[in-house]
Amino acid sequence: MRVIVAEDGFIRDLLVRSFPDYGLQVCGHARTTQELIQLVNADPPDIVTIDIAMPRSDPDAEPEYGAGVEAAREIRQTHPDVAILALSQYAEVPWAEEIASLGMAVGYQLKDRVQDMGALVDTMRAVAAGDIRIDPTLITALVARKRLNDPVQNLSAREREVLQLMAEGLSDAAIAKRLFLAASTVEGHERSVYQKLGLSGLRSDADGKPHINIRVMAVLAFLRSGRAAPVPLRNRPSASSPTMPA
Amino acid sequence: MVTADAGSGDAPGWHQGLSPDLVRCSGPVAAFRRWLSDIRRMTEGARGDGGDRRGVVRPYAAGVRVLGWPVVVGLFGVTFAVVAISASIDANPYPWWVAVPTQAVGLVFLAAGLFVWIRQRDGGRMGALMAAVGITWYAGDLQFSGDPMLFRVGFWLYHLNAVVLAHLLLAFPSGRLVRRIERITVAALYVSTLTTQGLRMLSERPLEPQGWGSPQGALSIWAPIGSVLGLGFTAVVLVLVVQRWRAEPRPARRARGLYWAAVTLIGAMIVAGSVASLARAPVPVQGVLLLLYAAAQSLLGASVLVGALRTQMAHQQVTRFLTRMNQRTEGGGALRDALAEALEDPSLTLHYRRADSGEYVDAHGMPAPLPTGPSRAVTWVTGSAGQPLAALVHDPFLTQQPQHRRRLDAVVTAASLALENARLNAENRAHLRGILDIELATRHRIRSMLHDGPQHRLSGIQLLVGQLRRSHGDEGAEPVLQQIAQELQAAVQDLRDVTEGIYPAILRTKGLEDALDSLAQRSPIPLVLDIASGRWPEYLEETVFMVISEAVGNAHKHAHATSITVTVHDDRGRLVAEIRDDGDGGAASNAHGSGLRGMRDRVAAHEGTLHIDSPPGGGTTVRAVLPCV
Repeated sequence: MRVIVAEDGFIRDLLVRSFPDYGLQVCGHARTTQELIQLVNADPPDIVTIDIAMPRSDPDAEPEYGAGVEAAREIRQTHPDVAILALSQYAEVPWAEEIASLGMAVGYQLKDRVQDMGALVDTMRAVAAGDIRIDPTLITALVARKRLNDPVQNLSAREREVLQLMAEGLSDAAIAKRLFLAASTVEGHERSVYQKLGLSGLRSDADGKPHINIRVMAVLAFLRSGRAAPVPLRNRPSASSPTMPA
Repeated sequence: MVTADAGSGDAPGWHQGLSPDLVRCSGPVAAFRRWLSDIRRMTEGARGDGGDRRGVVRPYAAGVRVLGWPVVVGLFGVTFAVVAISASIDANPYPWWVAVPTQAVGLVFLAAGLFVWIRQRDGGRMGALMAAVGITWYAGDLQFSGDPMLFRVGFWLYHLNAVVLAHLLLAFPSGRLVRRIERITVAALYVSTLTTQGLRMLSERPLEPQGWGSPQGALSIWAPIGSVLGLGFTAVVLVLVVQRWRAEPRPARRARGLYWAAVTLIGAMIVAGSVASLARAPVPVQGVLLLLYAAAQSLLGASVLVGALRTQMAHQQVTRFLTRMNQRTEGGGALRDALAEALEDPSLTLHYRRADSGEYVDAHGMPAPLPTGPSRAVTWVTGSAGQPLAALVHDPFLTQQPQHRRRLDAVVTAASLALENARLNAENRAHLRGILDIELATRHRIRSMLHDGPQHRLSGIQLLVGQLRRSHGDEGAEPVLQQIAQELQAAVQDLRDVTEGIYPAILRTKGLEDALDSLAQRSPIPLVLDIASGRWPEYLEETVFMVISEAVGNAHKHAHATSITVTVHDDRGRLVAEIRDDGDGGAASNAHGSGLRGMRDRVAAHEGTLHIDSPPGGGTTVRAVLPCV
C-alpha cells in the first residue's frame, strides 16, 4: 500500500521511518498542503495521511487550522480513488464530520493513537479498503456527553456499544464481528437504537439500510446536538463507495 | 472653529476687508465716525450674529463704508424707479391691471435684493444682482420721459434688464459665475447689448421708443444685428442653464424647486413673447404675456428670498436640535445620525481622530479611515486649542454654496461640545477594544505555542514509547511502559483541554455554534444549548464565547449547578446571550466577583450590557446584550 504523509511536526519523520516496518510504502511526504497536492497530482498514492492544521505554502509559517481539511476536500475532488486519513490533535467533531462528508474511504484519527502503530496501520488499511473510521476517543466523549432528557440514557449497554461502533464507521458485518454477535442480532440492536433516538428516517433507504457514510454523519450529528438531524438525509447525494486496491 | 477644505466657494479675502482704523482716530471727525460706526454695530447686532462682522462691508469709499452699499443702491433704485414710473405713466399702452403689477415687479425685486444683501451673510452678490434686475426693470420706461437725454439713456439700456436677469440666472445661488463659459457669455451679453443699442441710438433717426413685443422697425443695420446677437446669447444662456440643471445633484434640485420653476416659466415667457411679437398679436394678448413674464420674474425673486429665509430657519432649527444633543451625555452613532439629518446628507460619516495615534475611528472605536474620492468632501472639526478632533465626510454639495456652508458651519459649531465628548468616548472605546484585542491575540498565541510545541512533542514521545513497547517487548518493563503510555495519553488529553479552554481553535473557523457544542462536550455538567445558527462578526463571537465559557465555569465551580441552559439569539440587530443555571445563586456577593467584573468589562468594551440575576438559592442568570455594529 502506497502512502503519502502530510505532517508539519516532527511526527512526520517518525511515521515515515516506521511505516515500512508495517509493509507500507511511503512514496512521499509533505510539510505544506500545497506540497501535498503537488505530490498527489504527480503520483496518486493509495492513501494520504493529513494533519488538519498545516501551513498552506510556507513550511515555516504558522499552521493554519482547517487547511488540511481543505486539502482533503481538493484531493477527494481531483482524485476520488485516493483514501484520506486525517491525523489530528483536535478532538473536534465538526472536523470529523467534514471528513466524513467527503464520502467513503476516509478517516479521522487523533494523534494519540500513534503510540499503537499497529492499530494506526490497521485503521489505514481499513480506510484504504473503502471504510470509514472515526476515532473511538471522539465517539466515546460524544456518547458520554451529559445531556438533559438524554435519549442515549434509554439505550441498553449493548445498544450503546452498537451506537458507538456505528458512529466510528463500522459496517454491520464489522460490528457483528467486533462484538461476537450474529449479523441479524446487530441489525435488531440497530433498529432499536434508531427508534429510541428518533433516527427512523435512516431506515427507509432503498435497500432498507442507510449508507455507512450517511449513517455516520447522522449519528455524529445526533450525538453532537442531542437531536435528530433536521434535513432528510436520504435526499443527500449518496457518496459512492470506491473500490480500493488493498 | 470650522474650516472647510473642499468646494470652490468664496475667496477668503472677501470677508476680510474691514479696516480697523475707524476707532483709532481722534478729533471731531473721528468722533463723528465713531458715532456712525456705533450705529452700524447696532444694526449688525440686530442681525443676530453678535460680534462677528465678517462679510458685511467692503473697504470702499468712507461714506459708502459708513452707509453701506445696500443703502446707497436702495436710495438710487427707488429714485430711478420713481422717475421712470412717473415718466411713463401716461404713455403706458396697457390697461391698469397689467400696468400696476408689472410696474411693481421692479420695486419688489429691489426690496428682495436689498433684504438678501443685508440679512444674509455672503448674500451681497446675489442681493446686488437682484437689486440690479429690479432697477433695470424701469430702464425702458425712461424712453417716455420728455427729457431727450433720459430718453436716450432709456433707449440705450432697454435690453439691460434681460441681460442682468441672464446674469442672475447663471450666478444663482452664490452670485458668482463659476464656469469660464458663463463668465464669457455674460460679459459678451453686456458688451453686445450696450454696443448694438448704443450704435442704434447714435445712428437711427428718428429714434422710436421700444416696448415689450413691439415690432422693431428696420431703422438701421444694428437693429437686426442686435436681435441676432440677442437670440444667439439667449440660446447659449438656455443651454448653460439646462446644463446646470442636469449637473445639479438631486437633493439640490429638490431644494431649489421654486427657482427651477421660475426659470422654466421665464424661458417659456420669453419664447411666447417672441412668438407673440412676430405674430403681431393684439395688445391685450401681449399684455397678458407681459403680466406672466412679470409673474415669472417675481417667482424668481421669491425663490431667492425663500432660499434665504429657509436657510435661516434651518439654522435655528438645527441649533435648537443640537443644543438638545449637547445636553445628552450619550454620543455614539446618535450624533452622526443627528448631523446627517440636520445637514440632509444621509451619506455623511463621522471620523474621530485618536489623539495618541492620529488614526481615525468611528463612534464605536472601530478603525474608520477617511474615505477618499471625488464624490466626498471633508470638513475638519478642531478643538478649542486648534487640535483636530474629527472629520465629517460628506457630499461636496454641502460646501459648494454659501448658504449650505453657513449651515454646515452652524451645525458643526453647535455640535462641537457633543463632538468633543463623542471623540473622547470613541477614543476610550478604541483603547478598550485594543486591550481586548491584545488579550485575545495573546490567548491565540499561547494556544498555538502549546499546540505546536508540547502537544506535538508529547505525540512524538507517545510514538517512541509505542515503538519501544513493540520492539523491546520486555516482561519486566512492560507494566511501567504501559503506565507511561497511559499517563502520556492523559497528559495529551489534559493539555488539549487546557489549550481549548484558553482559546477554542474551532471558534474562528467554524463559529459560535460549533465552539459551544465543543464546550458542551467538555463540560462536566449538561449544557442545554439553543444557539441561533449563522455567523456574527469575529469580535462578537469571541466576546460571547468568553462570557459563556466564564459563566459556565462559574456555575460549575462555585454554584454547584447540575444543569445549565445557554441560549444565543439575534434580537433586532443585537446579539443576546443568556446563561441560566440551577445552582446556589448569590453570585454578586460571593468570591468569584472578579470573574463577573471581567465579563462585564468585556461586554462593555463592545458597548453591550451585562445583567446578572442571582438570588441566593435561586440559581444564576447571566444575560449579555451586544449590539452588532
